[in-house]
Amino acid sequence: MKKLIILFALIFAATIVINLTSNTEDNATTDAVVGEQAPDFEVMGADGTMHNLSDYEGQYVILEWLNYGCPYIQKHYNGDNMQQLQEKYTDQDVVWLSVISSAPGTQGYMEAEEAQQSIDEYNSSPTAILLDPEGDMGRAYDARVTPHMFIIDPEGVVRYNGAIDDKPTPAASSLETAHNYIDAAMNSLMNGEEVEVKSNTPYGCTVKYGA
Amino acid sequence: MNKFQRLLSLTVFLSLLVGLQSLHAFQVKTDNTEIQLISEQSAIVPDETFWIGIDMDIREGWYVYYRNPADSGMPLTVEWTHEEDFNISDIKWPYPQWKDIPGDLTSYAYADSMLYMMEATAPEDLDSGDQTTLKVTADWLICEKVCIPENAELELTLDVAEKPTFNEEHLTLFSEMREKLPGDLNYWESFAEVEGDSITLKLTTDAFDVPEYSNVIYFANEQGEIENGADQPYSVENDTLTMKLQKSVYKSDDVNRVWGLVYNEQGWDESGRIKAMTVDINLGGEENIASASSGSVLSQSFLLILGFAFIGGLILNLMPCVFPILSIKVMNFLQISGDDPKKAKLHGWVFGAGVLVSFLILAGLLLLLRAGGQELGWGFQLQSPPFIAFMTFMMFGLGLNLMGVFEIGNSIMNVAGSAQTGDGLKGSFFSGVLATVLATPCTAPFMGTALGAAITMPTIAALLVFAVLGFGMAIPYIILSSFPALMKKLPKPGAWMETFKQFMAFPLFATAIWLAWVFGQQVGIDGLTNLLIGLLLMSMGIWILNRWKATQISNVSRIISRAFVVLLIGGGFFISASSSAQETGTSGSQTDQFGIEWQAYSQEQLNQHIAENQNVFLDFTAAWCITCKANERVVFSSDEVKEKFRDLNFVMMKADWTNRNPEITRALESFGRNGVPLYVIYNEELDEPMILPELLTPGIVLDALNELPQDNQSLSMKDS
Repeated sequence: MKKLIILFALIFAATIVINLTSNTEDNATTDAVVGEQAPDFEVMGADGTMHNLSDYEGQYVILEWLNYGCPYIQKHYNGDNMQQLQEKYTDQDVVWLSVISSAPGTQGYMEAEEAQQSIDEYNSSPTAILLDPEGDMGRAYDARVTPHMFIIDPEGVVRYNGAIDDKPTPAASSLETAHNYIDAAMNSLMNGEEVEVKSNTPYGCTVKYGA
Repeated sequence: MNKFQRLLSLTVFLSLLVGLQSLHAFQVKTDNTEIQLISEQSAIVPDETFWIGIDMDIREGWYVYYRNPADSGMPLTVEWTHEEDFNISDIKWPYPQWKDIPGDLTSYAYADSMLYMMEATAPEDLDSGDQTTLKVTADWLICEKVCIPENAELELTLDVAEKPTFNEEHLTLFSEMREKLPGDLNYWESFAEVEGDSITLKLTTDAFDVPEYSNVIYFANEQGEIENGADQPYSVENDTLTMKLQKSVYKSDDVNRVWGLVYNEQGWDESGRIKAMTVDINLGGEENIASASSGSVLSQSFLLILGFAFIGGLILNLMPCVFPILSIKVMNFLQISGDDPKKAKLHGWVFGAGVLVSFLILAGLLLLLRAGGQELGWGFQLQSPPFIAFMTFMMFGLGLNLMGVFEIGNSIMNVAGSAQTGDGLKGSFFSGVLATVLATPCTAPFMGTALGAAITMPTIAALLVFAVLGFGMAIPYIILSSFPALMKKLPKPGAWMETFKQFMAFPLFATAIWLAWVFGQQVGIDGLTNLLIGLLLMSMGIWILNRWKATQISNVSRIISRAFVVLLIGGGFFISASSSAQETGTSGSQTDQFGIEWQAYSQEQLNQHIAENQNVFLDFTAAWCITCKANERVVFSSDEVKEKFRDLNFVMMKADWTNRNPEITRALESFGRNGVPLYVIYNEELDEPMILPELLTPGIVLDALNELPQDNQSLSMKDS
């Protein structure tokens, strides 16, 4: 009888697995909704190459919305917080894309060369900085602020959408006590655990979209 | 100079400075503001309350934020650094302005100038004639196109006196700003209901003629509650203002509080001066239930819902879905009554515990799925083809076992409970679990109501409803087992039991056929064939299991043969379960075996029919719902009913929930249900759609149709 219970338990578990996998298939919307397929993008990088989401199938992708003029971004870059996070995860074969969606003439807008140089200046290590002056990618993801963060898993499913941490202030001192949601979510994902906080309200400066 | 003298002179110097400051306004100039701490009173009284404020002049074109800054930004924060024990309130936020930012973003903002008001209560131990100083560090973010964080340390020195002296200079400013604070207007009633991601806020008053409304805006008091930048369409009907808000896409848990201020340019009071009022609705409590749209069902008190849940649980025992398990239960009781009555009693309770626990687990799963945003409802197990395949396997396998095709040491029957083995109690427990799993698809009358209410409730309340439901289902077993006298009425055990047991295989096979039919409805003929092949493979596995009994063969052949068994049963199951649900046609119409032409449900079409003032009969059904099928057979085979529907020009609409369908799930939820059957009649003369009982007879339907207000069109027909 024990064997049978185990067998049925196994079958039941398989049912659930099949159930769950079939769930993810029938959802195909354009917003970056947690648990659903991330919108694809095709954006020129500051490195002069085109970047597609599909290029990174099989790898985790972290998206960071960037505007160096924004005090919230400055908190994370001057405090070496963003750089550490980038280094930690790009070292583990995670793709880190910093996206600039500022329209020309607005705060944070950068030409390719300038953006590429900023990587050295800030000693940061994103896989690439993406230039999205038209705001197409930003709007597809409904990116609202800098820094607005997304995590996409190797299957292209959004796993996190929201703030970088739980201290919505530009004060540098807040970094010491902040709980970093990206670090926590990546930790869980890489250990095969459920992400505790999958989504919350991102904080920062508005993304400077063109009108 | 010795140390002491130096210290003394420093102290004197500092106190002189403080004295100077009290003569001059202590104003700080930052890049984009001029800011000072002010008080409504220049002289304050110990232990009395007075108003203070941080007065900010804002550079033209720049703005600062409301307590909920909306899509970006940060409100001003204060940190008091003085030593005296003043009791200072939180900032009292006046209503902000709605500011659109490129990229469809929104800020809740203040421009030009702002006074951050607070109420302060002076400590008791201040002495009249002295002076006291308030010190504060303020941090804020100020934005134009770009945002700049600023901060300032502010001070304010006040005289302490026996009588207050008001500060003429600031009186007007304070009174003007106080008028902009949201009022707590107790003559307004507010209600909110949540439907998926949409929040409906209703405001009503009977205190005076309803005011004019213009530019009505709801400002949520906390970030991350609503989509701050979304349109907030509102409409006015009779005395009620109805606003639609959208839940924040970043909010993963349920909306359980609607807290903010509502602005109306025309004002909320008779004079029209109070332009903002506070709304604070707790959705956990009864208010939510009372205000839910479907009204009649949900306005019942929580206790009543529990009562329904209990009755629903009782009735579950009578539902067709539980019928096959009856064979297992009856035999279980037979075996127990041959034993000693104490043990039987215990088994009854353990069975009850099994039922209860599985109800709670199901409730927990349902709540988890709800939290995960899954568009599922009660009975969802039978919407999933792999689960149906699993149940078919189980029924078929159990049937074969009852037939005596195979026996395994302790047979599967022990899962359903046997008093003869040490596993007896565990068996009773699992038979309770099994009974529950089989009962779920048939949402009996009352049960739908209780469950529908439960899904809108806070987690604890929902779990309680499920627990009572499970208790209702378990109680007959507990009673039977506790009163052996009643048990005596059960037939005595004997040789007939084996016959009975074998016979009981047939209801199980019948159930398997029914499940296979449901499976076929979901996945089509190819999928159904896969299922049958799967069953064939499983029966081969079972045959091997019995032909080469474990005790009669060597270890090696046992391992090999058992591996085959697992492969056959597992493989068979996977072949069956891999069939995925077919998309059934979502539009068009179909004529059923009773000659009724059904339109497939879509909210859009339904709205269109309602707009055209057509009568609509909406049938929520599913292939796996036996109650639904029974109702349809009984009602629609009646010519009288069909004729009546035709005479009244009814559009017949069918919402088929056999497969998962989020639109139908939402529609069910809008009626406070999460299971089928549900029958709804729309008629232009009815304020609210009419909901028919879950068990239908032709009489009930005819009565309902006759009650409808008759319009001219139908009068010209041959009505009695």
